[in-house]
Amino acid sequence: MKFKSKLLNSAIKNKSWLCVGLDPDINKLPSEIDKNIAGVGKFLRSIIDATSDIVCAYKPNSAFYEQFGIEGMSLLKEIISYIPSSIPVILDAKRGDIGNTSLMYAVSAFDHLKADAITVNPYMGYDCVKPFLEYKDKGVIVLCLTSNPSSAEFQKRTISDNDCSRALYKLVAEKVLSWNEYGNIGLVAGATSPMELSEIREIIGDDIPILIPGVGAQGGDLEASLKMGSNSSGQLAIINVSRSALYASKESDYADKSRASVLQLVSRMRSLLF
Amino acid sequence: MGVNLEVEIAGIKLKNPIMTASGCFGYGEEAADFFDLDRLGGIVTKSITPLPRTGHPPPKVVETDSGMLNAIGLTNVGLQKFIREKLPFLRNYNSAVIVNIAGAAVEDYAMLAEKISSEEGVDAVEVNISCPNVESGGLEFGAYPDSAAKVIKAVKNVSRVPVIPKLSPNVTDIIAVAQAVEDAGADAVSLINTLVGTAIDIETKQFKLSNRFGGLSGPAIKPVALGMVYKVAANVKIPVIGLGGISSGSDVIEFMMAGATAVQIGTACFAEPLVFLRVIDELMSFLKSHNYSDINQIIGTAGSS
Repeated sequence: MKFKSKLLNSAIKNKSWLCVGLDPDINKLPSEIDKNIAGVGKFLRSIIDATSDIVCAYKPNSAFYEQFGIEGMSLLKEIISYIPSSIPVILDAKRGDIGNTSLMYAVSAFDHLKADAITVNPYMGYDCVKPFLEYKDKGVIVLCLTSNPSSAEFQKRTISDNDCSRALYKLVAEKVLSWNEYGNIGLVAGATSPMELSEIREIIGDDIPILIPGVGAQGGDLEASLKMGSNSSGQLAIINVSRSALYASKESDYADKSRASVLQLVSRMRSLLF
Repeated sequence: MGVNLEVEIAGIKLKNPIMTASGCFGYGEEAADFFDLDRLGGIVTKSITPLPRTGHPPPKVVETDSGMLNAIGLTNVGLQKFIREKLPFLRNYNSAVIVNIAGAAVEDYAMLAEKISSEEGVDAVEVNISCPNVESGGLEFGAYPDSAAKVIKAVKNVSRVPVIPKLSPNVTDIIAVAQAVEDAGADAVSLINTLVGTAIDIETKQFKLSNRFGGLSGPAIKPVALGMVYKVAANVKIPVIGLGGISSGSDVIEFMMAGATAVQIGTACFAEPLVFLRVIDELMSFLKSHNYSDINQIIGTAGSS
């Protein structure tokens, strides 16, 4: 099934646009979990068991697995296959290289790891993103506006061509429309200022998902992000939470606490959208 | 000799007492293919919420004996799209336009009422208080007099058009709720909303609705609706709009004799889109054959000689 269809199905079925970021930090694990690969695997499986009926997607960040060396990559593959097949998996790897090399990244992510979507860096231009797009059933989520401290350095610089002047991130949003031949493109826009999210949604229209990392435990950001990032049917704004969902407790009740933390956000989301 | 069908609710003249019930007619676009919407006394829209809502996953409707259960989940286009796209369509007609609003918090209702009542072409807002109050752990606003009154007071504070709370029948004392919203400033009340119910598939052992519980509507609820309309009309001074299982002219007469000034038809129009026209004809026939010159003559006459 195509990424976007899978995403819509699981969001509607689970009444949730929340995505949990599966980024294991060995220092934050609950006390009872062994501080090794096996422990990390057990921990992640418990989190997945506790939340798979209330999320629309999971997003493992490749770096957090690569930090463990070869075994980390095995764990990543194992975790992706552990996730119920009806829930899409977005591999957060921010990949992008010249054509043939991008293809290798795509083969790794889609053929070996079997992720449903991948995040991609557009800096090198279309021919570096194309090899990912050619996997028509997979989602290709392009970095647009990130919420890290230095993001303004490039993303907020004004680009002028002919009589049109706008920030670089808006140029990226405009560009991805023309990259959406197979309907499998998405954008990453951090939960920064609601104005920017709504401008991005205005540029890309109703059909393109926006992955929104950076929503904290407070309800305020969540509501603004949903309001500004959703399309005109209240859909396709994927809200990602990671630390607040994974590390809700250090005790043996960590899975229950994780679920409760996710449910708090999802309940607010449901009162607005479902 | 002609018969006057015109009635008035809170200063709004309705050419006849027949209106559409919220949630059964969308925003009128589909029905416009079947008949001239100007035949209707009024159109009550699907509930509008601040954001567009997807609602519940299927199955969301189940047929029951003499009725149906629904758990749609307030699927709607949201405030922005309603104002931009749906309201302009409704302005093409001279039937009264009553916009139903639904929220998860008192502030939602006030915001919706303020924005919608500022728009041209809106004659009244109907307030759907059968919504869970997120702040009180999901208890419905309309479940108790206090919470219902709180919403209506906030809406009345900002609305530029008449405010009509739609009452839930799933309460201990509907008279108390009706009086509370009247005191809070309601210009009229409509009742009843659906009755809570469920259905179970005995082969799969699963609930037939994805949401487990839903609202029962249709002829099965008419006796309950009629009884509540009578009780409320006898205990408030503001006009009452009656609904619940209406599908014929004689049903309308019953509700008006019980005290309703106008009625809404919902469930009946799914199987029969032209029910509104048939009902108006049947109404006319009854009034003529019983020598009434004005439909207002029958309002509240149940139990009299």
